[in-house]
Amino acid sequence: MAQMPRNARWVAASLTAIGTLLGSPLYAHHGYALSYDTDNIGTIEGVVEDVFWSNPHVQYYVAVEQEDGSTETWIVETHNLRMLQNAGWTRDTIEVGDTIKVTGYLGREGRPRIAGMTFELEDGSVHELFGEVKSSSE
Amino acid sequence: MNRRFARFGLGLLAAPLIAAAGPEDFEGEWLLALERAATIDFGTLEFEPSPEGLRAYIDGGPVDLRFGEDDSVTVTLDWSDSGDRLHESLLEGRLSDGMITGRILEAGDQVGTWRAVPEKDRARILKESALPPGLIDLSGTWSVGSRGTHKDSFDLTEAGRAADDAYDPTLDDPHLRCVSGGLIRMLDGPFPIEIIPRKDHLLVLFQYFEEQQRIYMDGRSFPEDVDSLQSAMGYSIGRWEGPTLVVETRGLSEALWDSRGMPTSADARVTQRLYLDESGNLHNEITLVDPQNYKRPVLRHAYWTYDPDAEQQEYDCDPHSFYRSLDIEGRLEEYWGRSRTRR
Repeated sequence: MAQMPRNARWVAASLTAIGTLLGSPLYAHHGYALSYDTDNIGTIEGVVEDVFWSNPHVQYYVAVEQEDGSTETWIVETHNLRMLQNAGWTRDTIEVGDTIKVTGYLGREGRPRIAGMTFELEDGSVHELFGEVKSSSE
Repeated sequence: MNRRFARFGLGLLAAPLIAAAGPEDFEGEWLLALERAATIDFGTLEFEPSPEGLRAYIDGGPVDLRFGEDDSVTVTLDWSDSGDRLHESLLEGRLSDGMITGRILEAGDQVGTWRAVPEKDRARILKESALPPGLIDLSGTWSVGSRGTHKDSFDLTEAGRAADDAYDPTLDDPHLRCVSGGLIRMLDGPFPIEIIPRKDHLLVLFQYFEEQQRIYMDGRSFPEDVDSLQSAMGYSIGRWEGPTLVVETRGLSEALWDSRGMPTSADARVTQRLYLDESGNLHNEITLVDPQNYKRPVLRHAYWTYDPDAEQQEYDCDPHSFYRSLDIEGRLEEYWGRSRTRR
C-alpha cells in the first residue's frame, strides 16, 4: 500500500508489479532498509532543481509543490555512475528545469527522499531504471 | 560464466539414495556450490558436533540445521544481495554417493539447486587449473563473477555486537563520504580490478574507490611494526603454494565488513587463496580471523572472470550528495554528533 508523502503532491499508483521484482527479501540492520521504507511505494512529481552526476550515487533534487503552494525539495536517489551509464543514462538525461514524475520507495520517518525506480520524463517517456533498487551505499 | 556447470541440474536430484545417511556422515568441512539462474556461487559448509547435536555453519556463520525423517537435510541460509537486502534460502538436500544435492527454496519457490562435497573431494565440483605455477598469469582486468554465498550473520563477540549495534549505516557508512571501507569491502566490490605484475610485487588496482593492494612477492616478512600500520588496505605478502597464490594481510585499520557495518578490528588478519579454475575464473577464498569481533573465522569464496575489455574508469566520487541530503533531511547536527563513533 503506498503511503502519501507528508505535505507533498503525489500520485497514487498500483505498483504490485514493482513489488514482485524484489522477491521476498527480509530486512534487518541494513542501510537500505534504514533509509527507505520498502513497504511504502509512492510517486512524486516536480521540477528538477539540481543534478548530482557522480558517485557514490547519482541524485536529483526535485522541488515538489505542497498543498499550500510552497515547494519542498525531495532527494531522488538512483545508483552509481556505472549502473546509470549501463542503463543508457547520461548527465543530460534529466536536466535542471525538467518536470519529472518518480515512483519508488519512500524515505523513512517522512523524510523527503525516494529511491527512484520508475521515471516519467518531461517528454513523456517512461524509464524503469532498474529491475531492483540498490542500497544506499554500494 | 562457468558453462561447464550448466550441465548439472535437476537431474542430480533424482540420483538414487545408496544408503540412509545419519548426522555423523555429515561431520566436517564441505565445499558448497549454489546454482541460481546462470550463476554458481561457492562457499564452505561445515557440520560440527556439539553437546546439543550437530551444528552447521556456512562461511563461518551459523545456519539453522534440520534433519528430516526421510534422510533429508535442510539448511537455512541468510544472505544479502548486492543491494544489501537480506534473503533467506532453504537448502534442502540428501546425501548420496558422498555428495549432498538438492534444491534451493525461497518463499516456497524453487530458485535453484545446490551441491556439496567433502573438502577433500572438492575437485568433483570445482576443478583448479592444471597449469604449473610458473605458467599461471593473473595479470589483466577481471570483472565480478560471483560474490560467494554472501552469508549475512556471524557469531559476534560482545565487542563485535556492540560495534554492530552502534553503527548507523545511513550516517556512518564511509562510502557515503567517498572514503574507502577497506580491503575486505574492496574485494567484494562491484567494479573491475586490474592485476599488474611488478618487479617485486603484484599491484591490484580496484576501480572501486581507486584503491590498490600491493602484494609483495619477494619473500619478505611483515615489518615488525605492521600492526601499527592501520591502513585501509593493510600490508600484503604473497607466496605460491603450488598453483595457489596465498596472500596474507595485516596492518588493517578498523574498517567495515560491508555497508551494514559488520566490524573488523586493527588486529584482524586476512588470508586470500587465489587460484584459477579450469574455466579461467580467478577464485578468491578469503579468511578473516578477528577474534576481537568474531567467535570463529569468517569466510568468503568469490571469483572474478577474465574481462580484457573491461574499462578501468575513474571512480569519480563526491561526498557533496551525502551532506546535501543530510541538510535537506535536517540531520546534519545528528551526523556531526556521531564523530566519536565514526570509523
